[in-house]
Amino acid sequence: MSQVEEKLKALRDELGRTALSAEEKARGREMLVAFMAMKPVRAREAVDVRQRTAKPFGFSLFTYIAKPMSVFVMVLAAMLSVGSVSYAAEGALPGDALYPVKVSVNEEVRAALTVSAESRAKWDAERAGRRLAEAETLAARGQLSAEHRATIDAGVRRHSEGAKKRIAEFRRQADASMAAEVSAHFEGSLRAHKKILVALSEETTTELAATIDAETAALVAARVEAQKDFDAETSKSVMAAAENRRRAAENKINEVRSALVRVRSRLGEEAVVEADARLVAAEGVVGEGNAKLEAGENAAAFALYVKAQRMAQEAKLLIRAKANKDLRGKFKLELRLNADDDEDRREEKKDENAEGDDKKRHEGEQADDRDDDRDAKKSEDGVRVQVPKVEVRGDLDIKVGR
Amino acid sequence: MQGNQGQQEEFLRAYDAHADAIFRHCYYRVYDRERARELMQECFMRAWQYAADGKQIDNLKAFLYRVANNLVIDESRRKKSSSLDALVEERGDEPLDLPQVRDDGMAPERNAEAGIMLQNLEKLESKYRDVIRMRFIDDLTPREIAAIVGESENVVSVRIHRGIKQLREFL
Repeated sequence: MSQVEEKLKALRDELGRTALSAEEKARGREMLVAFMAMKPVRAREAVDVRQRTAKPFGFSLFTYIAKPMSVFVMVLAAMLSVGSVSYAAEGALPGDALYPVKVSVNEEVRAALTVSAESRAKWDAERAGRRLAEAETLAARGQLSAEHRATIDAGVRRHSEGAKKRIAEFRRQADASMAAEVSAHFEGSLRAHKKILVALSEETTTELAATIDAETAALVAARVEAQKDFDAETSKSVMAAAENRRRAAENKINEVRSALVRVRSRLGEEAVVEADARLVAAEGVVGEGNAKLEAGENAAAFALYVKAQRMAQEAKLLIRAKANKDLRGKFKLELRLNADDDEDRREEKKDENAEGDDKKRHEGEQADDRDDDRDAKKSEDGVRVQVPKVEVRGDLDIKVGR
Repeated sequence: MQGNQGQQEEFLRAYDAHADAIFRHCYYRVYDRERARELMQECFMRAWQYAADGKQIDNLKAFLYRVANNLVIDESRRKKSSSLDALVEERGDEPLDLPQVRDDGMAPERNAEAGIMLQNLEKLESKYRDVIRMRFIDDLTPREIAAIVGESENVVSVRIHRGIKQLREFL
């Protein structure tokens, strides 16, 4: 035996003297007995079978094999423990016994209970979101089968249709503010869900991602159309709508800020910084809107506030996904702004082109040299038309700090 | 109800067999007798709670050590100055006197030697220190240690040897 081992053995002999006194040990035993009496082994549905297997460690290995409880019994237990089937159904996923209850009972009941047009529109959007959340949970478990994807896809389309119809109705009634409210909320959610799904599993989520893209595009198109109408409207109503949207955007950002504070311990340092950067960017856009408002460019201000609300809503869902313990560790979700910058910029460029063309139409009576100017700009970089929009992008870059 | 009673008996047998060892195991990490006793108690109660919840325990002895380890880790997070290092720092370079339960007039030099050995142990990397402790102080076999830490017996043996090598350098 080496010197070290000898010394260790000597150490053990010394330390061996440290022991519980007889009374201490006896007292401990009594406490254990009392504790065990207080908490008996929970009765299981079936017979306990105790198996005495081999004894490699000098005492018996103790294994219990219990029969799994039948589905019926589990549902019954759930009902008894939480008080209602519908409550138990809330966590159901496609393939679960209670999923139909969740979708056809719970959600329909809630639909029937919503009264205001705004709540109804938002509930439709919410249901589409719930389908996507189910897809995310399934994807995290590796259970997003083709069948489930189809079920979820159908649900997403159905509820998106409902939301889009209601948004269109708002516009028909010239309630631009309400249309924008629901649209911003929905569009932000869709963008977030797409990122989450792709981050969880690119292979299994391609169809769902495509559906999201289609629905997002439809929302964007509708938004751009509405904006055109707006540009043509009288100042006063536009200004009122813009003010309204500003409040909504600020409230949304504050709401997400509070949510971020609540979950920051679950997120980790880096994610918190990135999430905050998103909110700061949204605030920046609100700032730009304020500048526009002051300059009397109400329609432009309106659009910026709506954008800020969209950004905040997207951030909210991304943060939530990041903090979700079911999804944690299953994916690498980038909260960083730059990762998706291009997509948004692409949308903006499309918007700008549309707006730029319209501006040309509206301002047809303007001096020719200004048109020439714009043409020159257009041919220069092929896309950028509005100088102010460039500033927007510049600010975003600075704020993100890259 | 055979299941419940049988399990209770099993647990009490485990207590009789291992309470001392678990107590020591905790003591030589927290260096506080009272606390070590409480941790030992809590270890058995938590293990019982686990079984009472209907969860399976394949190897009760290994499970108890694992629970004890977790409790000790929680403890050290709560109180940073409970480690031997901190105590050593307080006392400077004097070797620690080992506390004695039975005052049987032991040779003082043995006491000091053991104290030095303990300090050396604390200098080891934690993964070596843990297995060395379990092997030489808790007197667990490499196989038992493997079950507790969740590594293969090979890995455990290698760690023991590397730990001994490192200790040799300290002497």
